[in-house]
Amino acid sequence: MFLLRRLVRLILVLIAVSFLTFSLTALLPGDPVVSILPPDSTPAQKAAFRHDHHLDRPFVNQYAFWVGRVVQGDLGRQYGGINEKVSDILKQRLPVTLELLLVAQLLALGVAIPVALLSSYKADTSVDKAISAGAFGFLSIPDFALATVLTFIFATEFKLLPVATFVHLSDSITGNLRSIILPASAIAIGLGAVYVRLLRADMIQTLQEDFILMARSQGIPPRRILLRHALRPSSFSLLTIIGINTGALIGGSVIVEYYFALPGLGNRLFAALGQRELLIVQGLVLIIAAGYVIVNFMVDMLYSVIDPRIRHA
Amino acid sequence: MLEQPQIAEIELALADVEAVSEAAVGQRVIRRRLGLAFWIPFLWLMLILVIALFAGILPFQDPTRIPTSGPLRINAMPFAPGHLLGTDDLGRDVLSRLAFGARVSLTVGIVAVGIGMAIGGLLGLLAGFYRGRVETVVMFFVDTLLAFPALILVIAITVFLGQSLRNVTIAVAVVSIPAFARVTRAATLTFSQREFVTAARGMGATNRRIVLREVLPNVLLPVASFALVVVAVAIVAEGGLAFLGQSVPSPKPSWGSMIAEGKGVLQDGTAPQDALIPTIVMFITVLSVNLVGDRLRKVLNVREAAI
Repeated sequence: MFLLRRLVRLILVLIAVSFLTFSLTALLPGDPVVSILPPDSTPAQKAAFRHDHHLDRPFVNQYAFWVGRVVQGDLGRQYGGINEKVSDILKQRLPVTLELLLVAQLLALGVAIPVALLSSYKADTSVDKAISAGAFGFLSIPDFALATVLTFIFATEFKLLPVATFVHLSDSITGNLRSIILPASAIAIGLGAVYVRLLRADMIQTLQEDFILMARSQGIPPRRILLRHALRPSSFSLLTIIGINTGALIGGSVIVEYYFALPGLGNRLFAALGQRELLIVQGLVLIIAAGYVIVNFMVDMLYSVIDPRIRHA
Repeated sequence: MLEQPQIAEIELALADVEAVSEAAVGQRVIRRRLGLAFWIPFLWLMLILVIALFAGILPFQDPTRIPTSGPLRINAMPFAPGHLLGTDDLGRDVLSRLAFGARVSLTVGIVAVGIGMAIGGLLGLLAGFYRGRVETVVMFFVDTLLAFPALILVIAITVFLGQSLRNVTIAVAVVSIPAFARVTRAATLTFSQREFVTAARGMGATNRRIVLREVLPNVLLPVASFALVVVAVAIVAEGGLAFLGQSVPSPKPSWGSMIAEGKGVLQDGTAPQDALIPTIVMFITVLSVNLVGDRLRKVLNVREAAI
């Protein structure tokens, strides 16, 4: 029942998102025909083009036509110019964005979890205070500022890493990692700071529970208590935030992708906006929004798997 | 019963809001507990605010003037004669560009968040108080808006409506609506169940009166403390937009565009200060907003809301 209700809601939101995406791009100023057909085309050619692409139909019909194609897996293409298919863009660029997100999340979690454990174990000591202050500072650095500063330190000053030269995973594994580590760090530092704050707060609460006292009195070593007893019940909200962030970052990594010239989805979408390639914008925004909705849906489900009370709420 | 679209957000906001019911007690001790971690960032923000407000009157040089006569000093270091913070790659005065750039950051930070808070707050208040169909419709709208990649939406608005301070402000306001609607709804849900609402209803108060006189004043405090987090996010968002060259058009200065303009001479190492100075100013400002907000929430006993 719970699952069904959430599923219906998911589908309704997806429909609303697709309608809004379509109307936003369709209602924006600019005649798509003018930018697609060569400038010397006759009015008859324009009319024929309009007819072929259903542009002479009422708005709702145009939307239905577009959705019908999307459902069949045809996300559209940009006519004229490069004649690029949206599905091809996805195939080439989604893996880059996903790799960026994956590396960023791994970096963030790899640092944040041990730091948060230490911080909560030493709550209210100078170590904890330093960690909290540090997390707060990192939280306040915008990602583009981090990107510039990191480049300056690691590429300009110490010449350790390349900048703005992306190497595909299929070409060279180490080259790929070297080219993704700076952009991923620019994202990971802010994420990690959020995770530290969140996990620390939840851990401190858990550590006050009776079963922790019990474990302590049994003489179980602190490391084991932190990792085996306290971490799991403290990680619910962390899990949710990871999900939300992953969904939000699919379209939110534009700045980092742009700065490091990564051939990712966000970068292409930004270029498409600048070039007013409306059909590409429509297709990509729809995919990103759908990704966000679906990731959040899965997080909801995961949450109710971990904590059954939600299903019966 | 609560729907569970985004548990963490709602839950954290709810925890905040429940804690705020104790806020009346907290208010009495504000003065005692604020401390330096509040006052230093607060003073910095006041300084930036005064500079932004009076940038036109204060003796700053023209932020867009490229010197045409005399010795041309480009990328001058700070404390160069006549230029306290040096000059950029076109010889323009960095201090005055920062001062006029502060106007952009603060306008977006304050006005956009104000608009978002008014619209989102109203929606959340209606949803949380009337529940039922109103709530379903409002939360459906919020969920839909939230599904859009926020930065892309902001870029799209400025690309298609034109790059101007007004349009950037509108764009950032639009994407801040869902967060405010959620937090306000959560706060309203809690306060609508309190005894004073039942009492008011028992005395025959109309819904309208209960919302305006009983619920709204209570909801305002937690929502306002949440707003400071959004101000920081909005300043960063404008900076990112400017970094992409999509905020106020050049040559008008903005902190984000100053960082973008300086990134070339930062990467080749010839004049890293061009990008680093605006980066530091922006960092201190965002940190200050966060610190002031954090301090206020702690004193008012509001737990951190993650956004």
